[in-house]
Amino acid sequence: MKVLLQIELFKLFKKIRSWLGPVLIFTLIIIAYPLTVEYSTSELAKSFYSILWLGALMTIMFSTEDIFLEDYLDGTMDQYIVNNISLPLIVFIKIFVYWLLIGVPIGILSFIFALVFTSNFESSLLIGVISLVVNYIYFAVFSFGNSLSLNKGSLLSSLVCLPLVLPILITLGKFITALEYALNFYSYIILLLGVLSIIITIIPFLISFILKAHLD
Amino acid sequence: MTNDYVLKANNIGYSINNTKLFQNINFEVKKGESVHIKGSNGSGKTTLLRIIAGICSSSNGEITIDEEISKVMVGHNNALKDYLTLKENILMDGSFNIKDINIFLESLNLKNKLELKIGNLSFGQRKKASLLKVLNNNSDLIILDEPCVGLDAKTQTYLIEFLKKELVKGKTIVYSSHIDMDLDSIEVYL
Repeated sequence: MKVLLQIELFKLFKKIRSWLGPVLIFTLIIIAYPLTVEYSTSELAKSFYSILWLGALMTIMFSTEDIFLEDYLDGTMDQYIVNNISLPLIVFIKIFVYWLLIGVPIGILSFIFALVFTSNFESSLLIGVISLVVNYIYFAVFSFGNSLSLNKGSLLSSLVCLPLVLPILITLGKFITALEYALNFYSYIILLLGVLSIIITIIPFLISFILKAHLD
Repeated sequence: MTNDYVLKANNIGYSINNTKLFQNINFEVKKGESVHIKGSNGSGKTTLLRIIAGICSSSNGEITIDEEISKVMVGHNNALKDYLTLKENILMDGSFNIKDINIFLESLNLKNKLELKIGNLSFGQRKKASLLKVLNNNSDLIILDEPCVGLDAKTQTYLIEFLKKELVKGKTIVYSSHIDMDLDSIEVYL
């Protein structure tokens, strides 16, 4: 597993465009947002979170477009099967590596931007942590979508997956409201962690099943 | 397996959208033997090799492979990453290092191409790079899909001589090729 993790990390790291591009796009969205509106600082802070969650969502949606396609087209996936390497394990590692190189920087940037916009360290830190959790969920869901229409244009499938992440966005909205009004927000965190645990367990098996069907 | 057969194809058939690509394919192969799959373009040679490799499933029949044997396959898609150098691709494979394959790199005239990205290599050089997997392997079953395509005459001879030695060692080879590789193979027509 360690070797596979190193290989996948190395492969993605070498494709600078694939991981640095999404991080820069996310940064651009957040930086460009206040330049396009004429809100006061307090109004900016109110709508900032919406832009933050949607920015991360769109960035991750586009960054996962080729998560399995390259290996499928160049025969790497065939080699995994020939060498009896577990497909669910590969899928899990791929999602984890994408999250590590794209999701984690977005999480850190979310913390930094939240600090700049709200000037509240504690809530910004919480935003950063929640962003890390939600980003993993986004990666898993969009990877699932991309696996469904692997060689038929993965963008369409990503759009189909958008309704699946709507409940997450609603939960995030409720979480922010609870955070702003000093209400109990832990239930929302637990809910997101619950979704994460289910997704970590189930999605690799679902995707590997779909990938195997594509190879057939 | 109860007998000496490494690989046994029993009544294998494959259909796409109810159109039969091939059917009733039967053969058995022992250690030290090879199978040459022959057929015209589009007859299903690659598909049959993929079924044997376990990548896809047949529509009918079954392939029985000795559970203890290891496999290596080189097909049309070479599993090489265009954005990595040849050296990085070799190291990424994980199964060997540069020192081990020095002799093969020299024989295939790839030693001075190690720092070049795969995307900058010619088709033939990529083919040679993908064949390194076969040249430096200990797998019992070698599956090759058109291994000579894109290779110059010298490399073809080198590969064929290598495969002959592998057969003597007791390896099993299943391949498709439009040229006669002179491996004294069992012939299967699609």
